[in-house]
Amino acid sequence: MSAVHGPYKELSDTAYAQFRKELLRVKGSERQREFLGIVRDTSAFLDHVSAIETAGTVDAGLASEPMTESEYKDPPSGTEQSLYAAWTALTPAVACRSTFWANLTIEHIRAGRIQSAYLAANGGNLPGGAERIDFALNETHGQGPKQIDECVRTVLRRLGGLREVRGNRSVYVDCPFARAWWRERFAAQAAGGDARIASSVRAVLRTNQTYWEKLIDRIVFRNSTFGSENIRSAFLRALAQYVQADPTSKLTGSADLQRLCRRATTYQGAQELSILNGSELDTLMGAVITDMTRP
Amino acid sequence: MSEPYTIEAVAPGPSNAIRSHDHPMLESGNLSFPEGRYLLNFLPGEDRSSYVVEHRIEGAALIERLLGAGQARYACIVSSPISSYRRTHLSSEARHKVGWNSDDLGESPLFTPMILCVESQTITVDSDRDGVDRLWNKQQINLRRGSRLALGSVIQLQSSILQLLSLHEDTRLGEGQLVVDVKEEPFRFHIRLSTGLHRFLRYPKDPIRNHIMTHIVTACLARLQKDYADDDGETGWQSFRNLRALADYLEHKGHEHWSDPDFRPERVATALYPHILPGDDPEAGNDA
Repeated sequence: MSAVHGPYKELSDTAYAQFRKELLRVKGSERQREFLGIVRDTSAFLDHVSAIETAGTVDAGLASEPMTESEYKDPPSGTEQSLYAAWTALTPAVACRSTFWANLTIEHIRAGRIQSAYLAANGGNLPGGAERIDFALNETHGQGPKQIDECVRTVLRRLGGLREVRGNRSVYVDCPFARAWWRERFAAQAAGGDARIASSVRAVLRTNQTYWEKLIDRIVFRNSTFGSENIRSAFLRALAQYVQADPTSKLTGSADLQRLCRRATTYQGAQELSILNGSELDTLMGAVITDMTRP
Repeated sequence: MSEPYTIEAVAPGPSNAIRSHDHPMLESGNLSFPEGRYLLNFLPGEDRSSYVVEHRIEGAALIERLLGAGQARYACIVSSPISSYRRTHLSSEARHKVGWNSDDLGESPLFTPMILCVESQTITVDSDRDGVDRLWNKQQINLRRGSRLALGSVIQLQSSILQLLSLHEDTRLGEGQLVVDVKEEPFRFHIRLSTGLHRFLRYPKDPIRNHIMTHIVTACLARLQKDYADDDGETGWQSFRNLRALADYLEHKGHEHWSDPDFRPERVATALYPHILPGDDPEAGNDA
């Protein structure tokens, strides 16, 4: 890890907040329509966002190769590992900031690593961001304003998250670069240098987007038990071990994950788990899973 | 900024939660210890990345006894949910320091004070000796390592508006000038100051500093009134936890806040931080 001197480059907090607020003010407005037209064209997009002030002096570094739209939207595990390796010097205080990730995403667009239209991609029936923008702009059946607003929100989410609407989870879940960083960080913390554990934890964290979001909800909301690194890591190790042995387990479903989390945190009501040591926590989490999966 | 804060973390109140855990716990809404009180004193550290926390337990002889015997410890959890951070600080002393690395925190830290059992044991509690409610009298309880004996509310020491602002030199400003900017991740006031003003405000002893700070607070409140009076439930001021805390604080002090039509920034600012005239008692009238 190299020493970092000075703050990382990011969009100005005030200017970017104002930018988002104005865009989201009226659903389907002419401003939103114009913006989507701009997102459709990478050079127009770069010109448009260059008006947002920036702060900081340190570059975080870019992905080494251009990414396809699907690779950007849902990076394969190897890509996420490469991205994390390039950004190991980042701190959590920086990595939870949408201003930082939005600027880094724009820098990727500026360097030709991704196209601005990728930001509008959102799964579903339409294959890509450009198609989704075109569909929203040409919608004439009364759903136009809603489609346009949803498309604008997708762009802002992909850029760096939309915390004011989606809460703390947004950076972790909605911005692909941030998601890669946090997923790899949690895997590295749980593994403690053991590549085999890292691989199995990574597999669990990448089960699907909803699964990741439900797990993040358990971490980033107020006073969460899973905010403690040792509790979270023991939980992930136990879950990964179980799922590796039984890949079709019901614990790979989001609803059962939520039930499992609730069960694990039930202990916390009367007992502060964070003061237990690693092996005590591993035993406890193993017992919680055994209890939950008992036929 | 170095004034201590005293907080009553667990206040007596009506309860039906006496037996909601498998051992008596001193916490809000739980009358397991009918006379129990949990008081805390927070003193900010000079380094802006620590507090000295002082715990005081009253009317809960069981907890006091376990602390005295070294079977329980004072604890304070420092957390920043937005950056997935939560760390428990344990101490055998009632007064202890909790610190953090600002690289780990995405917002001002939250504090959760508690008293934890550190040795597993089975004991029989007695109402007269231990201060527990009669429903627990002669009951055998199992305490595990980590059992929470007392649990305070989550505290964010940012309800004062002074905690929401930071001072920054801006060499582009003419001497004696200042500008109040707002930043939203997390919400705070970013005060840009001319070089001389910035240097002057670093020394808190000068009474003129208080007048300038009152002016700054007025400007901050005016910004809230201008730009944050509305809340649409999604993107408004209530989405910022520390602004909600500030609004609660103002209400607690008997003042309106920026959403109220009658809100007058200068009236609230000078009520919180009155201008001190020569010969006045600096403590008189200051309700902050």
